[in-house]
Amino acid sequence: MNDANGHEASHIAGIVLAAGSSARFGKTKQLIHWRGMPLIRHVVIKAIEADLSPIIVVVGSQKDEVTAIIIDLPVEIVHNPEWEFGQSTSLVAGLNALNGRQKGCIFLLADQPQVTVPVLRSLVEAHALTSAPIIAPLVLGQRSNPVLFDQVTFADLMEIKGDQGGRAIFSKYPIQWLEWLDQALLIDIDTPEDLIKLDSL
Amino acid sequence: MSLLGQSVARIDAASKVKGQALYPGDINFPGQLFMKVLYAQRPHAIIKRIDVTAAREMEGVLIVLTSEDVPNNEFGLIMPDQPVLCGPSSKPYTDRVRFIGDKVACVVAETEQIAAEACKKIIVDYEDLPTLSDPDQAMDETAPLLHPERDSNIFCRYRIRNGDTEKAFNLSEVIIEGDYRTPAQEHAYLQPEAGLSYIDELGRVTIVVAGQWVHEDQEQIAHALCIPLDQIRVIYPAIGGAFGGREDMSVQIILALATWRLHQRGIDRAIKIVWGREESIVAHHKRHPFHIHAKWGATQDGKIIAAEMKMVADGGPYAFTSTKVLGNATVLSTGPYTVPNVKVDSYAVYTNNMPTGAFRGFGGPQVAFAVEMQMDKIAEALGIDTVELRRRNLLQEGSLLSVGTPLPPGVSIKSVVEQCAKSAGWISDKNWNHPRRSWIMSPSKKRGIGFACGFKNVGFSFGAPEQCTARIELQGGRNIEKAIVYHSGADVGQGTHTVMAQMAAEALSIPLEKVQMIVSDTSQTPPSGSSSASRMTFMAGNSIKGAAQLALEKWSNEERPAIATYQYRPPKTSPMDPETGKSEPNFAYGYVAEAVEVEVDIETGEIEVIKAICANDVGRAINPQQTEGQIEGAIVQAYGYSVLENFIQKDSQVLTRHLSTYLIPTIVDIPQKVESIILEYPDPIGPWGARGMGEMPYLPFAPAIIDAVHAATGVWFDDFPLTPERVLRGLGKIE
Repeated sequence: MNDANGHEASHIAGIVLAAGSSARFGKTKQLIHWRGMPLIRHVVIKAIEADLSPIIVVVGSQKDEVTAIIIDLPVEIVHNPEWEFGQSTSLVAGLNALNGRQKGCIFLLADQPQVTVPVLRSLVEAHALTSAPIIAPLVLGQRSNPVLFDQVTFADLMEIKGDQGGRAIFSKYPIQWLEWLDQALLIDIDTPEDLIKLDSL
Repeated sequence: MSLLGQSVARIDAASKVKGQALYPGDINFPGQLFMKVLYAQRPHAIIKRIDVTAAREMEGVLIVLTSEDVPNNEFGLIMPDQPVLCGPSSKPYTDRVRFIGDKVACVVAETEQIAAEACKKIIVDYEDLPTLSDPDQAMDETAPLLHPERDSNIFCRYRIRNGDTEKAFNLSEVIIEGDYRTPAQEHAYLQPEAGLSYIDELGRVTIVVAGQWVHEDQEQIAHALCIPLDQIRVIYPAIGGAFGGREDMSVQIILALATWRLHQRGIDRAIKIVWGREESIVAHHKRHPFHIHAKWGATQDGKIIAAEMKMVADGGPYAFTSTKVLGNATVLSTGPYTVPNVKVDSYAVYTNNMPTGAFRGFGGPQVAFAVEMQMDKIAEALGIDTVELRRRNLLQEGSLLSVGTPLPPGVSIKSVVEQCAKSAGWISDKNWNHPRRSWIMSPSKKRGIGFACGFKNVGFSFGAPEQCTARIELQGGRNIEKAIVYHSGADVGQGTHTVMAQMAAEALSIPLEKVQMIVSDTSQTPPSGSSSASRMTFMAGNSIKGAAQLALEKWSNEERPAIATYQYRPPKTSPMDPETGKSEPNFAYGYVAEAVEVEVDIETGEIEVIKAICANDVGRAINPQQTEGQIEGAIVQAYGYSVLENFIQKDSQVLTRHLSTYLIPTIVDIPQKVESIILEYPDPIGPWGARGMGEMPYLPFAPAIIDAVHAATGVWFDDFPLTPERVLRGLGKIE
């Protein structure tokens, strides 16, 4: 039993990191409303629209509230009970939920609601052409999120400890930069004012 | 390594990429003349008088042809009920025009412009007759007759009577009734009709044209011109799509007629005709619109026990292939399901609308829509998952069809359904179900997943003579240096000549480069039957396999060159019994299932197809890339049928005469993603196990889309295309 190309369909997964408690922000960021929807829902819908598959949402802090917001969407929700030990634990929880058939994954941040379908699709396309181990947007010379990791990096990602993200393994691989002009991607939502800044762009 | 299963490059790839492949409109002969046609442009009238004097006297006009110039003024693939040129002739009632694209006269002139000007100078006096635009009205006994020599406008009817539907309805816990309407569809091949004719070196009237069946073209020309078959030669160059739309005559007979009449006057010059898009749209047939009433009954545990169907197909003014299309629809009227009690009445009716005939699926898509909608509604009424309900009723090995006879061996629909459903997120527990078939993306955008399945015959049905012949010539000394395959099968763009070459190389155990194809020329290639009914891989493969075997025997007996001809005949089929429908309708089938994810914009009514998954049992994918191309092409075409293509006829006039008003899918419209799951359960009598597959992926698409839209919005649409206007009306947002 083959498909036309003699291989099973494989995809780039989307792992949405939505477990943090947003200590600096003052309240759980992923629940905040912006343009009519909680931030987390914005991000998950972008992942669906970009046709990432499967989509894993890692929840932790206020997991029931976060889960309730996205329960109706075709995503898999994974609870990370160790979320307080830092972002790496969510990375690992997300990767563990993949079934091993993906060619790679993109980590999406719950506090980056301004992520766009084109940037996600461009990462996937770039990967289809080069199979580079790590592909990240470069906006006006600055590195940005979201980042695509090829499956060859998964073992190293699983080894990351503490409160660091995938960037911890950037030094181990050649990075392919995706030139991108959307300045909004550079904005970190660290304070409520940052959301206002996002609206003014 | 076997050549089968390899996606070798198409043998015509380089010539098509470089623009060197010649389609009929690209071919020119020195000193050629041009032809233009005068069409009726009115749906129903008697021609009282035709005056061609002014046209004939124009400088540069060589000949003006009218009905009086046609030796035997009739033609038709199934029955000769259409005049070649409308107007008085020895045959009764040829003086009538019955649709806007009926031909009244042809002009041959030095240039296309002169021919067009001359057409305008032809004076035709008409007496208009009442127009019949509604098949239901045309069925009425009091309706005026389109063909007065017949006693009814119903020109074909079938019945199936199997079991006792009344009793079964009484035992049914759920009865669902539905009234479904399917639209006409234009083939919209990229290459509109064109052709050339001339007298060849052996004095034969030769037609170079794009068609689907060279020998049938040859026969119909000979029949109308009353000249011996071997005096007619038909050649197909590159063909720019067909989809059933070239199965009937377009320019063939009129070109031959003009060449023959000029030759009688001592003029032997090539004649060329090229139709514009508008001409193509008003002058060739369309997909049959169907009106189907269905009443189905099921038990509480989801067993379908009764199906009653009434189908009326708008047959247009002439039969074309309607009788066969209707037969196919009738046999497929219970879908890929076992239904013990069946009552079907189907009718094809003459109207003054556009003629209707063959189009990819051949009656299958229309009836699949009604069947699959019934299944969806029964599943909803019983609270059973839509895939699970299907699984409980699917045909199996040895199952009886509604026409009372078992299916040929190799029934794979259950595996096909399961693999498609799995890929679309269905979970097989004890019962099958889907965790989430709909969700809301934003306040205005809703998504849903739909499912449908189907099956369709491979090859000619109902006892129609079915055969395919190949001739192979092996050249060389000690080793085979070259194998020439002579085959008439039309490569309409689907890549069949490449697949034939692959099969020949495989059967002869030689490299592909040593195979040379000589194709589609009645003076050189033996009869193959048409490129239609998903039959060419199956039939050509068996004929080539047989010819290769015979040629190799002669080769080993030292014959040089070794030449062998082999005619393949599949198992016999039989026509439907007029009272009960009992028959052995077909010798082979292909099975298919599709799942579709759509996004409905409930503010604009627009529908976007996010993903289509198609599982298709092709038996053996001889060339997987071509197979995948057929699946994707079928889905794109079926997407147009389901969502975009709105063919509008009003009072039997066509309002959508251009591709600016009749919208076919472009790159921005088509499904974002098509996932082809090519399954290979061998057909016991297919060549190397191959089944036909060109039409199958078309069948379930419309019902799958409409199921998905229902999942997203909760609204059933019993007709389509799902234009924004129809969607908004369905959602109650506009009147």
